[in-house]
Amino acid sequence: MQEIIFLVFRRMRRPLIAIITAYAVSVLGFTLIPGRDDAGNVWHMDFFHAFYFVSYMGSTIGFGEIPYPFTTAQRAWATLTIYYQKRDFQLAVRHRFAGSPSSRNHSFRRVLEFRGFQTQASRQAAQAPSTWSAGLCGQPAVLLVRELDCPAGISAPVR
Amino acid sequence: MNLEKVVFAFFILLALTLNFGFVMGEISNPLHHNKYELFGALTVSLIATVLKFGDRTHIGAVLLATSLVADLQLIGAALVWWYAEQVSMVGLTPQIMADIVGLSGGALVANFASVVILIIETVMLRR
Repeated sequence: MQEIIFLVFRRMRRPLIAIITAYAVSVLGFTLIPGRDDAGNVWHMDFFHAFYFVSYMGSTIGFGEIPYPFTTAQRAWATLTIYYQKRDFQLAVRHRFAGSPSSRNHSFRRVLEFRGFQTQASRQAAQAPSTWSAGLCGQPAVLLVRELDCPAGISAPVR
Repeated sequence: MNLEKVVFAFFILLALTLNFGFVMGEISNPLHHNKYELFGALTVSLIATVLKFGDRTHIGAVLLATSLVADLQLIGAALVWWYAEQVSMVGLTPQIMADIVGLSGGALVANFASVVILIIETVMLRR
């Protein structure tokens, strides 16, 4: 199981970094851009409110402007960051679910298959004494698997 | 030379230097500690953590662990800051500031360990 977790993390590296950067840039922008409160005084958003705003901006478009209505500069920054974040979220989602039917993800699928094979083999070994034909590779292995009438690949029964 | 390795070392070192810049100064004086620097240190530390994902060697695991420790400490420091300014409203008293800098000082040690491991790994590489 651990290999799979590490592989997923490894594959998620690029989109995760993209999301962290997008959040950091957006939050930083909101703390730097001056706003005006309802009395017209200049105020700066603090990190907590900037993070809060950016977080719910990333998940929903259709939000209020807190704690005071935004100035034009703040709205311009919000517009830019909305598109920036949307792009990175889509990248992340595409990475996460990419290619399970296609072969794009071949090595990852191999690990998943091997993991399935391991569980299946250990379960069989626990249930009944079994004969293991190990060490076969290449054409003999292919023939053996075909003889045993099982779907090709590593998930062949091992009895 | 390999761009990936440059980026990797860059972020690990930058995490240490930003963290050091934040911790530097009198421990309880809020004037000596810039919140933007803490924000930068936390962001770079998170990126460094993600960069360390997926290395299954022993040294890779230890590197990831040091990074996680640094993240934890920096997030703790940021939370204390947030709590003092916005929840309990006591503001940045010397006591609170010392807590924040203490927590990020712990992260500094973790980041330092990370850089030491990186250097050891580099030195061990044979040409």
